[in-house]
Amino acid sequence: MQTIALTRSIKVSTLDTQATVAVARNRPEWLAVTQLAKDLGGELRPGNVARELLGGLPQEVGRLAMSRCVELGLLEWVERLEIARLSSLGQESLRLGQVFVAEERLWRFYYCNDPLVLPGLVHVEPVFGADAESARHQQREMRKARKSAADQGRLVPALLERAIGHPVLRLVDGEGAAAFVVKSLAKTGFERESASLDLRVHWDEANPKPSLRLEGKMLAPPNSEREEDVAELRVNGPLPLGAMSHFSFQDLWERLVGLGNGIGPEAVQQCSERAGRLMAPQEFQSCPVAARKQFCRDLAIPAVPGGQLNGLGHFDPTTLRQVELAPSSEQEASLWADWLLRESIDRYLTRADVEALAHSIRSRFEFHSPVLPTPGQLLADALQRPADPLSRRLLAAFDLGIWS
Amino acid sequence: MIAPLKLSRSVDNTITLPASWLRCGPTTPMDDGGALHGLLPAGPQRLLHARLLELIGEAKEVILLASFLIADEELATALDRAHVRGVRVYMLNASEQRLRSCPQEDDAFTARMVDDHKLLLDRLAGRVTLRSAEHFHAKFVVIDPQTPHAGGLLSTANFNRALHEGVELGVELGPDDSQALAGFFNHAFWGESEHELVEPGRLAAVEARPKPPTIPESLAMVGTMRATQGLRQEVLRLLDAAMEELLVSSYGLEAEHASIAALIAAARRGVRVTVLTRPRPAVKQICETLVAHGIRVVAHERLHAKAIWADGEGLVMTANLASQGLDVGFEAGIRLRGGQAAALETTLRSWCERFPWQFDARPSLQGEFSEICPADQSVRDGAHQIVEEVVQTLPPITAADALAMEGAKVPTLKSEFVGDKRGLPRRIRYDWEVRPPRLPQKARERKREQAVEKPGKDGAIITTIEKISYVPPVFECDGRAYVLLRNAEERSHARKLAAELEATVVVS
Repeated sequence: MQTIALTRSIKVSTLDTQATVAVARNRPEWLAVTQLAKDLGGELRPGNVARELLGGLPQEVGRLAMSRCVELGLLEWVERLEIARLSSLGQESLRLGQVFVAEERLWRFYYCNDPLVLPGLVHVEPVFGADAESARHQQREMRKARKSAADQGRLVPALLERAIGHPVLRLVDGEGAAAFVVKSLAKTGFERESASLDLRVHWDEANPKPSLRLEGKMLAPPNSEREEDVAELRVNGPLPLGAMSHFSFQDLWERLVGLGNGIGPEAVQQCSERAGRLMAPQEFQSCPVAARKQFCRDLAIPAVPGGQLNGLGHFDPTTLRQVELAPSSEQEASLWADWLLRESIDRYLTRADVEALAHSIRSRFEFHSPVLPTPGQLLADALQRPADPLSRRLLAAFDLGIWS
Repeated sequence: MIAPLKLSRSVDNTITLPASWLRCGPTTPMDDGGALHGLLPAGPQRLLHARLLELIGEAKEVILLASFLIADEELATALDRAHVRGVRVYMLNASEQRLRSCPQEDDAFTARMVDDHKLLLDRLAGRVTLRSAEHFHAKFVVIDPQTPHAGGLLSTANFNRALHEGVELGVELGPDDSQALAGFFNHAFWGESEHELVEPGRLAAVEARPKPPTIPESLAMVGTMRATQGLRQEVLRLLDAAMEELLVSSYGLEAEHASIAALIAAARRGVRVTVLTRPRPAVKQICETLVAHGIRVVAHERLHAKAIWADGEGLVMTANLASQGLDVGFEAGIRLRGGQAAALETTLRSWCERFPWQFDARPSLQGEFSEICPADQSVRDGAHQIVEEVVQTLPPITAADALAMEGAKVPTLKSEFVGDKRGLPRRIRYDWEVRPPRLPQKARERKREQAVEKPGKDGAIITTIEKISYVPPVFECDGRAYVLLRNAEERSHARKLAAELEATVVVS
């Protein structure tokens, strides 16, 4: 089974700016109210909450709880303060097991410009651990302290603005679920330390779709609210397939093999079509010795330039393992078979042995009919070069009475 | 004074000798007769060695070389040159395991020779195709066997210093015989070899075994291999058919082998049989058996040739008269007829006359030989020089009386003497001294009494008894009387006095 493994490094930029971001939080109490609304099939009343979840506390407490859930977007009022129902966000929150809680404050945005990382926002992380008011104050103070225009910060990149409203998958300390939604952004912010992450494509021939992941480490903002006192954010999560979904495995494999053996993807495609399976055409002279014997090789693929694979961007050099090979032409097949025949003469052989060996070698060429030297021709060659090890194996049989 | 009397007497050495090798002549090379009808003796003239090198030098395509042991620098150089000019060289030799197990009493198989053999093989690795097996013992070379100018040489000598030091034989082969021998080689190479030299110092087991070619029928060449005992059959045929005379040369002789029984049977029916061998402890018993049946056994320290001449027919071969060779092994031989057989007869008769050692089961020292070696010892370490006489000096004898020295008792003279570093004597001469007896230290002089008349105080003559010494003086000790002889002039007085006093005449 063939496998494709591609990687490239991605530069991740950072920007600290004021923003409102809804962050998925673990709030089981509000999810309990939301779940009750779902269980009751539509209408949730304060009494239901007080009775089912609050152990018989007054209905007013249940109403307060419902009001908070409406504020969080989990419920919608059917009749204000009396009857509420499950919202679509509440439905999604139940699925994720988390509640999106909007926070306005100073955030650090981690983003990149890569065709396979869309919309380009990798992560957000709160800065300073302060509330929005104190953050704004701090930002004002910082601006005052700076004198040049550059110190006043830079405009927020357009790709961050395009990210507003799109749930972003969580790539830091976990994976899979939508982790945050940018609600609004300030106009400017301040650049911070950039980072480098690895984008990895892994595709087994048996899987219809590849795996696309981003991995690596980024510096966390100082004094983060994170409970752990860590300075690094560990990135390890999947990305949407994006442009990758336009490729089939065979298409991508043939393009890569074309780059690797220098023959071109069309020839690779023709070879595979004739074989009915993935197979690479191979010229004899450039084929490594072990591959000549096994009809199979690990094919080194050079760095893939950006425009080579439509829309996928550049990739680092890689290797395609165990690529099945076939001679690139009948002439190449004959050269290859001749080499195999001579290489197989590793013991003393009679004329009949040589004929059987030639037959066996021809049978290894599924799609070609190579021409091989006859035993007599091999013997004649051997008599010209008696000291050659191969010659000695044939000449021994000839000289010592068992050749024919 | 009385001088000691020196006496001497010789006796024949009557010691009983064990079965022994008796040297009847000097050990000399045996190749001074030169080559006769393609029969090449080994020796310092290097006839066999030179022809071997010539053949290798003449090869244009292929050299087939078989030898139990190979250790010859010139041969290695010749093979190198052959390889350089494109000749394919194939070799068969004994496995190292077999070489190491060979008896050390044989010079050719010393550990050093085996080491030289290994060094040579390492040197040739990559240039020759060499296979070995425990039972490979044949020695021959064949060149260009598939061509009309095929040639060869069958040798009883290993291709080492035996070529110019041993008593060996080689036979030049014509094209037909060479091609037949090549057939033996081919069969052994493909069908009977066990290991192949793949690089210096490394022999790999032979695994793939193509069907070996059939062993060719030949008028002259015979062989023993796993598939045939043609050589054994030919040896027995020759021995059984002999009616007048057999000359048989073999380094090894195995008592239980049918060929030995055939020799004895021939002797019993009146055939004159002479066996030529090497004087070794290993052949003692068989030699005793052979001579007991009237077979003459002669030997040479360097004999290694294997050949039979029987009433005009001849056979030169690589096998000893033993099962490991004639029955089991890879051995080859060539039947000789006409001029070649006559040449073999001439050679073997010459050897019989000139071989230095003759076996005698009950030798006598009165025979004509100069050295003797007990047959259970090697002639190198156990031979004794025969000398006409050795002198054994006996302890001195003290005569009973200084005036009766000739009558002293004669000592016991042993007539059996095993010999010593001076050799083994045919006669022993015993020398001894007779010495006069001496006066015992404790002896006191005995004086005789004599009446002496002297004038007294009053002038009157008085007679007194005085003690005076005898002349010569007399002593006594433990009740016995001794007359001390002080010089020759006192002999008669001493004799007289001793007789008078029943004393013994002694000296001081």
